[in-house]
Amino acid sequence: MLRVVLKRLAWCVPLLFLMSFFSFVLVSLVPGDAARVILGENARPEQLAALRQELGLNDSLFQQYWSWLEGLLHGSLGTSVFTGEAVTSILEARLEASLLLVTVATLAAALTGVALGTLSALRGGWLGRALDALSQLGLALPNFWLSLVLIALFAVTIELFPATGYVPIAEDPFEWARSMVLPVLALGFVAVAVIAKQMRDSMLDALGAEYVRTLQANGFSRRSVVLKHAMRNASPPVLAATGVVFVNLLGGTILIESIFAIPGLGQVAVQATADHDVPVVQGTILYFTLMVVAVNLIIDVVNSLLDPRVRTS
Amino acid sequence: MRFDSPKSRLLRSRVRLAVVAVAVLASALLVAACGGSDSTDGSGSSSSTANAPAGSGETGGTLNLVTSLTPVSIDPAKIEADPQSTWFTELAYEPLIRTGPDGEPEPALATSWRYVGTGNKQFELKLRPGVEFADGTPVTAEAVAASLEYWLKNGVNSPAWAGPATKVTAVDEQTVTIDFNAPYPVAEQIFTDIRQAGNIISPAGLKDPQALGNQTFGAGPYELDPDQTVSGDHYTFVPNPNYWDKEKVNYEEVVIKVIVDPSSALQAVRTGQADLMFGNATSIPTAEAAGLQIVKAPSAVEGIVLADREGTMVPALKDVRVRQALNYAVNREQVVEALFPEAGTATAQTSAPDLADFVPALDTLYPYDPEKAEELLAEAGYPDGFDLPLATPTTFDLPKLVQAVASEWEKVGVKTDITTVPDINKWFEETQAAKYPTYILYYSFLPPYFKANSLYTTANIWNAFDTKDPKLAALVSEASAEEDVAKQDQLWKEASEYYAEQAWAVPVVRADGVFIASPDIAGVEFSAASLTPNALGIEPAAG
Repeated sequence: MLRVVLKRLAWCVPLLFLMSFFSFVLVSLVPGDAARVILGENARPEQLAALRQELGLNDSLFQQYWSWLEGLLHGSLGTSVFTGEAVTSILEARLEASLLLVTVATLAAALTGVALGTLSALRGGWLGRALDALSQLGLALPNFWLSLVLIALFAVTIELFPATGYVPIAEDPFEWARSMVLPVLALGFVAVAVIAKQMRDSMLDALGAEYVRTLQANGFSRRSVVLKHAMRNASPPVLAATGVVFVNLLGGTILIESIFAIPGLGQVAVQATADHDVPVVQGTILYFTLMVVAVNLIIDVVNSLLDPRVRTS
Repeated sequence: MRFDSPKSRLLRSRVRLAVVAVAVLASALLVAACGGSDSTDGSGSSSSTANAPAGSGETGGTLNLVTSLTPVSIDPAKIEADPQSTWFTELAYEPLIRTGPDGEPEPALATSWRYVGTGNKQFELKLRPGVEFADGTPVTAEAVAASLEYWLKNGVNSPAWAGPATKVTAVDEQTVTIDFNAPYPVAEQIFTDIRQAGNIISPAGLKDPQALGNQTFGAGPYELDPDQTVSGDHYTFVPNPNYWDKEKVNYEEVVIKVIVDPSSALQAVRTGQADLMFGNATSIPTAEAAGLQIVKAPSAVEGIVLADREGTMVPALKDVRVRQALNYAVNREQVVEALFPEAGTATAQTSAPDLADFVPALDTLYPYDPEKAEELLAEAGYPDGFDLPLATPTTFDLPKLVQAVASEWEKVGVKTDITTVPDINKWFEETQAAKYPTYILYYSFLPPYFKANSLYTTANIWNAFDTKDPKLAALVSEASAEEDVAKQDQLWKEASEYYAEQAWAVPVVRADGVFIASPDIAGVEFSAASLTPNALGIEPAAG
């Protein structure tokens, strides 16, 4: 187990390098540069040239990447090209909102999906067909459209929840929860169907296995067979699906955060990319990558706890 | 940093276009049932406001402003001087001269000012005694001079807006002078809050220019509270205990929240989460139906620049009759009705009410007359028309405007060859390099002295072929040096008339900037000469 975890963490390092390099190259492909953004279209060529020199934009791509990397190896993510604020402080202020949003959405989708999937596996029939239809619908519905509809219905027409904004959980847990309902719904809606479908398929497989009949024949209650044994065996693919869902939702935060005006990493990523604020973009990519790696690691650990066969491989 | 903002807005909106366009479409579909009622006339000198409440004269709790742009920096030298970003410095910095809603200058840190000597080359300001910065240090003439020098040296708009400034002197404890090496008639408009040059930064701030990017060091009614601020999401301003004019402080707290999506911003105002947002024409019907205030005033003139007046690329453009024909051929009223419903006025001039060179009659200098257009073209030797290349960027629906104008020109035989340049930087560079004989005109209103530089006399994005006209140049230099303000205004008007008669462009619409306010606030007003509703003028509504 420990070896698996350590191996994973070791892989993390080259992955981070690769991601940071790719994002660096991609941002450089966006038209314009930071000097342009700072000085505006009214800039005289001499001003632009001077600022580009100062910001190191005339260096080759490799040189610029290397100087960023050097900073990183010394433990610094650098500062924003515009405000001069430390990248770590910018991102730390926003980490809570994004992390909580995605985590809550994933958990909510997972719990709902597992419940629905199990029910439809047990009851079958119309629920199963309904789930299939829901999956198709969920995949087709754009989540930002759903956001706008939810806001119009539950924030404006019926003033149940705030239309925009985010309240930090430490400030007011109740208001935090209120401000999270609509974004979580919009973000997680699609995921419920995906997880439910996966759960249903896995559950059906598990319930069809020989040991289930054996256990029931030996007098174990149907309930304990389902909840304790079948579910455990059905869980690996569902956990894998949850991991994938988490990563997808992470991407979805970019739009959701824009629409709900939530101070998250997605919002700052969009802003920084448009502005060519390279240190901030790089920092955001690193944070995202670390989150993905961490989640996948957690999923694998949970998997191995649930399924002993995984531990030994 | 932005000169007249078109490029900054063009550049920024580009990247958000997908989210904005689809979001607006989706919300428009969703709330399509809420049809708009008959609108109030979009023109008018100062802002026209539907449903404006009276002020209560009391102090309120929190004022929530919404902006769709994250300021790249809140340093007065680096901040974009656009309608939304201005709030950040208006709240925390006290200017030498404050610009009133109708563009009239008001005393703030300076109690009086005047030009000294002849030719508008030295500007003198008398300072208000006994004023302190938010950190308790006194606002002295030296401090003011140092702040002005900082802006003149580092201000992103300084080369364009204060090029002739050479020296700042703290003459005595109450007096500061600024010297210019050429006639500079606009000191009263530039050393203000809205153009940033007048926003005085404390010595502590000047010592640490990096901190100026995300903290405030001013003498204004409020100051930024970094503990309640998440850069790029929301900025909280709290009253400055050392402010000299407590009556200006109408709220216990002012929060500026960044909401990029315009339909989310509108929902925030509807539900009372926000009090004021910068809207656009498409949000007007929904906002009206919801009983919100609509505050409009002209913000930019849009049309086509006929840049190749020497006829180097298109010989036909050399003849003034051809250029005038292009003006007569456009049914401006119809275009404005179709593309700028409730948020634009048809016009054939590049000025706006409340600006010094506005001439009401010029709006209708070229009434729609396609027969006259054809007559003029025939007279000039082009009875069968000609081909006309034109370049447009893709932002702000400008291609639609181009299509509308091109189809009018088609009817009189002028075939427009439209090049759409999606990359706004590329459009600027190519246009400035005189690659296209005609192109989009999108000019945000500024005092005529600056417009003259951009449109009349120097090589510039709006005068890409660097056309020189001795008469126009003479009017401009005379006006710049004219000390009598009434005479100066008259000269600017003459220059504007000449420009319109020579048909150097085909202005089509005076587009409005639109602000949407909740019924809980009063005092939201602005004009073409004041850029944006001043955050300090807002107070809780009565009742």
